[in-house]
Amino acid sequence: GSDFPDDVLCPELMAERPQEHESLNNIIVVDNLPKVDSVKLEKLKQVISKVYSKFGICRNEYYPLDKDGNTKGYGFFEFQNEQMAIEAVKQTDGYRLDKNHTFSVNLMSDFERLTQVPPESADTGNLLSWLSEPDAVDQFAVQSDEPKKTTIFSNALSGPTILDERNKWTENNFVWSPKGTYLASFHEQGIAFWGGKEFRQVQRFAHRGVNYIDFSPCERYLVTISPRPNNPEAFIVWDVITGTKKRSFPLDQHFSQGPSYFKWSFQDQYFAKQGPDGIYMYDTESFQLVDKKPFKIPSLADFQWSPTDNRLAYWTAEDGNVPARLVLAEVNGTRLDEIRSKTLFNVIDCRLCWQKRGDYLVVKVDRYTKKSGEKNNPKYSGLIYNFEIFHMREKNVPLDTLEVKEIVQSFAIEPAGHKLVVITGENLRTNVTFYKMGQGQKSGKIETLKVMPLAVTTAIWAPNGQYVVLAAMKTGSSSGGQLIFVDTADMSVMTKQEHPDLSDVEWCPTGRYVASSVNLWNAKRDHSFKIWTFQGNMIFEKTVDRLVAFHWRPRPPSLLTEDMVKDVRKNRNVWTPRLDQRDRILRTGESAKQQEQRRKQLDEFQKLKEKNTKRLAIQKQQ
Amino acid sequence: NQRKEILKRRELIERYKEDKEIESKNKLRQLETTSRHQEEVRVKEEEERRKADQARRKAEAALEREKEEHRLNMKIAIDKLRESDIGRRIIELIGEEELYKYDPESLNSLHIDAVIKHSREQKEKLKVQFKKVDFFARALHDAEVPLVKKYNDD
Amino acid sequence: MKPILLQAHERSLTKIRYNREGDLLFSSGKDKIPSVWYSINGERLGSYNGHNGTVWTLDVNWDSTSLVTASADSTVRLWDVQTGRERNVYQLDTPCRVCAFSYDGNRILYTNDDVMGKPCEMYLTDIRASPNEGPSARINISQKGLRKATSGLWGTLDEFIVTGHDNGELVQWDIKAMDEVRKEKPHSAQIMDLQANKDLTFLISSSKDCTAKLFDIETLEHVKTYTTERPVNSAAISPLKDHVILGGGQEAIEVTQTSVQTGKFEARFFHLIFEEEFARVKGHFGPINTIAIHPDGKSYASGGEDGLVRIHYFDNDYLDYDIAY
Repeated sequence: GSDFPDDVLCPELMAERPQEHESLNNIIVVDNLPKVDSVKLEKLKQVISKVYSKFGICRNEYYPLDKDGNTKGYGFFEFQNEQMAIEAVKQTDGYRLDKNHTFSVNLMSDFERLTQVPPESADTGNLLSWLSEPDAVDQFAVQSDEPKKTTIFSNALSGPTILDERNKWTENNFVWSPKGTYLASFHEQGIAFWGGKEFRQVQRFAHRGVNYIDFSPCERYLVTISPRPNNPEAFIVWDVITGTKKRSFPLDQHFSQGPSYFKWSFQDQYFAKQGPDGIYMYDTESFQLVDKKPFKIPSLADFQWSPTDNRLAYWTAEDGNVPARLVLAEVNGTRLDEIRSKTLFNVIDCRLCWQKRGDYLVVKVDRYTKKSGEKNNPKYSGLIYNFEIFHMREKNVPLDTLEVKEIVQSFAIEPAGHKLVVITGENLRTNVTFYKMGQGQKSGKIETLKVMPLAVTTAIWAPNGQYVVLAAMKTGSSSGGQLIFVDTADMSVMTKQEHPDLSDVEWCPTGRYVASSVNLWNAKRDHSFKIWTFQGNMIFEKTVDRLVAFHWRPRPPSLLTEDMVKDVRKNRNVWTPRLDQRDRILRTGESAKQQEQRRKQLDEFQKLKEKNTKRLAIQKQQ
Repeated sequence: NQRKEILKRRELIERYKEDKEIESKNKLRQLETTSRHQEEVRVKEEEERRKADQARRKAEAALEREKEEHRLNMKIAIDKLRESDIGRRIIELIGEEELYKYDPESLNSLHIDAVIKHSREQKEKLKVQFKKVDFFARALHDAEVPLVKKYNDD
Repeated sequence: MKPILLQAHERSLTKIRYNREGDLLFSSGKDKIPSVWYSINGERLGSYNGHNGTVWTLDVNWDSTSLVTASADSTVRLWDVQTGRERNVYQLDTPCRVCAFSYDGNRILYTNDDVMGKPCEMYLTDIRASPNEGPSARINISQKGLRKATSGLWGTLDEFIVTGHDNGELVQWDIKAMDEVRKEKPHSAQIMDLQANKDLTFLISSSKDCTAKLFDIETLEHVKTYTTERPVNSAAISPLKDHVILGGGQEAIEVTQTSVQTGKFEARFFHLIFEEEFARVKGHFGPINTIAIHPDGKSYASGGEDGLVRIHYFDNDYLDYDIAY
């Protein structure tokens, strides 16, 4: 499929469509037709007419042409009535004309649903306007099922306020793009992007039956995934700005349900997937395999890109007498060069985890001392847990090993810092241990900062580090719900809070607030979200019946240089009084507004009361 | 005549003697009475002193008992105080011996005051800490906004 | 102040009600025997023996001489308050759900359930007439396409009746015409309770849809909504302050699945006008089924699924409390 037109998009399609407005329901749109020149057009028309004549008389057909007179690969067909059109869609959607052409058929009216926004929205306005809102106010979106409602809030200083709320905005879930520019909505026909001040539609990507999407880290590319069996275009890579299709891939057996199939390098330069015999890496210039062949890595188990360099880490599983290997490699032109590696024995599993700033690569290694059972169904005993820590910023990338004696439940690396928090133990008899990974001269010495015996399952770091929330998520045996707010500057517990049946904890991108939520998958009732300060003070709580998702709107990386940040820090005595004053004004304004509102409500009610009393008096006289 | 004289003198002397004797007898008697009286007073005083002594000892014992009881009560109260962080800090600050001079009630109110003060301080501390983080995020934001605008125009 | 606890009933409470002066508190439950108590100290004065099933509701007339009770044993009974003697029995075909005295105390309103193929009907009876005479009016509610009535009360000057239904509808009936004059559907689930304010100008409905709503009693115009995250079983309007008290919780069958700690068996206080919740009173070990406020507004009582009645006297903090505006 990559010889299909890139521009199957709707504004022009809408402009060129037949003008019988009253009969949109009897027009179908057939996509994935062969692209032919004017000579072959008649032949194509004959073939297609034959396909559709059995559903009734086709009143009208229309094949849009490009400037060279070639068909664009799609066409419109008007039937005498709606029933015929519906039947035609039902029977020929997914119709295989030949090896390369499988029809995608829709009712025009369905198509319009996806494209109901006027074409001038192509002028997207200022997509970054939300980043200039005062007070660095963050936004978040909440999705509830039945009614399918998406609400966008602004987490204003005086408390969250609703910015926008729409029913059936998305048929599935919504996804924020990684820099927060777009809100992506799912539709049977494809994906729509919304953005700008009023959340208008800014882009759309037609991909029938799309279930998952994934973005490149800089938002330049979108991968849509429609995992229908035998779908030759199960994965489509799109250019986000132009909305054009860059490349598509058929379904393969390495796909496991979920959005992450391709892994992207930090600047969108490469995307790679795990293949049967190694890493298949594509570049985003040609969208072809780098060096026209995969990087052969036998027994490849997993790989992960560094978030800040064109480096990746991978590990290969034990195979017969060949032990497992952990490798750090760098992309150099068409080569993948090993920088550092370590051979590991008796490995069951590894988890590769990069720190957000790319300063550390932490690999959790599960090992055994004894192995028994059959080859295909081995049994392990005497499990040992190690962390292999790569110090990426130091010469020759020194490697540390941290041994942990208990079962590791989870771990989390401080995003901008040097701490590692590991939760060990089982069934809520857990310990939370804070380590310092060491830096500079100290590398090679992992320091234990503090052990806290706390019944939690997960640690979630603030985006800028230092503050961490330890949370007990709902598990099979426990409803969980504990939220412990820790300041790792002095290793103090600031607050302990609760949100029973807790299913999710997410920090706002500016690191000032944390949201906890209970969704419909985790609890029968009391679906809600709460917003806490980073210290664990609850500032907002809302019940959302059948809550599906809560997500903060991400922000792009800061445009400020390190020096600029330093300058801001230095000018503390300039902005502190200014912000103090601003808060005072906001507070008085807010309370004045509230008082005004209450006074109004009171007046209205007083009037009603008087009216009723008067009525009663009159009735009594009678 | 002389005899008469002598007799007269003798009589005088006798009388004198008698007088003297009476006087001395009287004196003796008087002395006896006073001494008896004094004895009585003494006994009485003795008795009183004994009684006072007894009362004092009793009072002292009661005081001692009270003191012991107070000490025990205080020990309980202080031990209880020791169970909390703030309580331990109070003990450290004032000194355990010094605390025995308080009574449980005033100790309790001391503790409550400290808790209130601590929570107020804690709140204040959190407020300051929040402001530090919040203001810094906002200040960074304010510095970034022009850059975002420029970036968007480009 | 510590609440007065009445070990009122063996089983869950269905209704509690103060008399006009507030010195007496009447209670009914699923244990068949309604009781009367001194509200001041919780002393039981007596009980009314005769019913053979759950007593769903009760009402006392204005001078506290007569009590009317409606029971699942398909009878409505009239009692002498002081002696506890049964004065009359009104036998129906199916369980009786609603009963209420008119303001003048001469008439009673009662309804029965639509079970065993029988329709839900509403009856009006003059209690001065002999029981052989039958009801003075009878309306077939089911026939009018309405769902079962689950609560009901008399409107201003006994000129109309308002009933709440199990589909969340609110219906107003004209007494002279004996027909419905207004119908609204303010709730999406069963209406559990209807109570009027002191001068019978407003009405508050409680519903399983987790809200209580305030209406103009005569126009049925919706005025305010009080939202919780639990079914609301009962709500009362304070005669003293601009407050309402809501009681509820999840259903009995679900209670066992939730630990008491996470159960929210609290009476909840809302500002009548601002619709904001400002206080909660914990205590019950199960959902609160019925709430009544003392006519002087200085205490309230709640009856729970746990079989207990709790009488709470407000402290000065509450009586002085006002939301700033």
